[in-house]
Amino acid sequence: MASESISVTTSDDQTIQLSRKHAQMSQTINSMLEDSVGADQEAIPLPNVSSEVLKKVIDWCTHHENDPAPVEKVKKLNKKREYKAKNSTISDEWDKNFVNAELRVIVDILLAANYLDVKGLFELMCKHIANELKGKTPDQIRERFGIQDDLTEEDKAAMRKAWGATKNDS
Amino acid sequence: MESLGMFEMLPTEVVTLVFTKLDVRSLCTVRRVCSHWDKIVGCQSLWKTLDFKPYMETRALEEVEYIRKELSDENLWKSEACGSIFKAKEHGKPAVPAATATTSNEWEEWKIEPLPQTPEGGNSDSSSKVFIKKRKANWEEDIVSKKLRGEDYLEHYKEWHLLRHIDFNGQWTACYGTHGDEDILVKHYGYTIDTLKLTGDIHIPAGKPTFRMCLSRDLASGEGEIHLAEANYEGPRWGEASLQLRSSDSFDILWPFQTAAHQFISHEFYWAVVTSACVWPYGRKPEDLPPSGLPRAG
Repeated sequence: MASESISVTTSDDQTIQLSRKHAQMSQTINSMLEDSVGADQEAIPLPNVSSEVLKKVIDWCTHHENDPAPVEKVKKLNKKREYKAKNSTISDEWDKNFVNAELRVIVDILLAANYLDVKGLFELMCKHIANELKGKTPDQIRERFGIQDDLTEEDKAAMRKAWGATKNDS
Repeated sequence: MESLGMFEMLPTEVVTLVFTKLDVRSLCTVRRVCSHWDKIVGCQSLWKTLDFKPYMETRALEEVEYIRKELSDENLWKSEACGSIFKAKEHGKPAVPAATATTSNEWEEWKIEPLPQTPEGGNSDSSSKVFIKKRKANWEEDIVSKKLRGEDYLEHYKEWHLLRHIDFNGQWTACYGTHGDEDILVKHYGYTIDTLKLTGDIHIPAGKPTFRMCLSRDLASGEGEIHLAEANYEGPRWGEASLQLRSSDSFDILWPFQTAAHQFISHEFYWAVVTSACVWPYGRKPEDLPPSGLPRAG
């Protein structure tokens, strides 16, 4: 029988122990475990995740370990409720605190959540970044996310012409 | 800057998922951030993942209201910045700082006179009556949006002088997608355009109308309806469409995808999923036409 704790090796060659429950919140690790039932539990290599980020992910898993698994019941709710479920408000106070981090860390966690397939965490990070994007002008977004403006003036003029201008225009 | 390039690292599918959390307004904003994001937002699959049914019921109506409110904000287009753009454009110089720009007086010069009570060529034809009410609203909206667009406005105003004598009457050739080129007859009176098909196809036979438009004041664009029907002219109906002038002798007819037409209200989204037909004078080749300024979907 597999042990209660799983060890994983991160990109910076650190071995981290995490409980089976937390490990199973990641679909990626979960399927690796299922594939290797009965085999000796060696440390699972996670070459795309650093120990710093993994610790953050475990933090989140610890706080959300008792959350009900995301089920498809949303579909049964009426359409307006579904829309509410789709919007990007972060309701949990702990989560709000969690995402209050440097952009670099946020992006790393987003990538890790994507790689490890931790659905709830990935959703949270998407929502957070979406919130960062909302209500900003293109210039503000470029500054915030350090993106090069590679659109030509013609492109911009064509866009303005097609969609009209809004107050958010730079 | 530390975060430089951080966001470029994200795989396209992750960015797409982030964008699914955005509303239409924000999507249109992020589209203008860089060409990569423009491509992602322009991708049909992203719009498909958005659940538009509830959006239509709640948000879109709010959005439309919000945009209307913004457009009607008089102070917005009277702002000093707007004035400076016009002044600069006029003299072919780069925009001067707002502080040194003349504001109200120069701006007034470019104000288009009010819509006359009886528009020239106003016709009592039954189909033009349908548009008479809409026409005024269209025209006012048109002007407000041009004021807001700032730099385009002067160009449009000049165009208007050129185009006011334009005559759409006569025979034209239109490209109807898979049906190929078809000839149409255009009847143009005042601000109204009616068209008759001279070549028929499997959906709409010759002799039936194909679109009718109510032109804006500058005759450079128009709104109206396109005649749609199933094969063998079953279930004929009118669908929303618009007209965009390419040059003095060709124009585009744009309409939202038929199947999706009832779903979209948002102006921005309307332009994201449209299909178009170019119309050019009979006997000329489409290759001669200048490229259209409108970005195409997908």
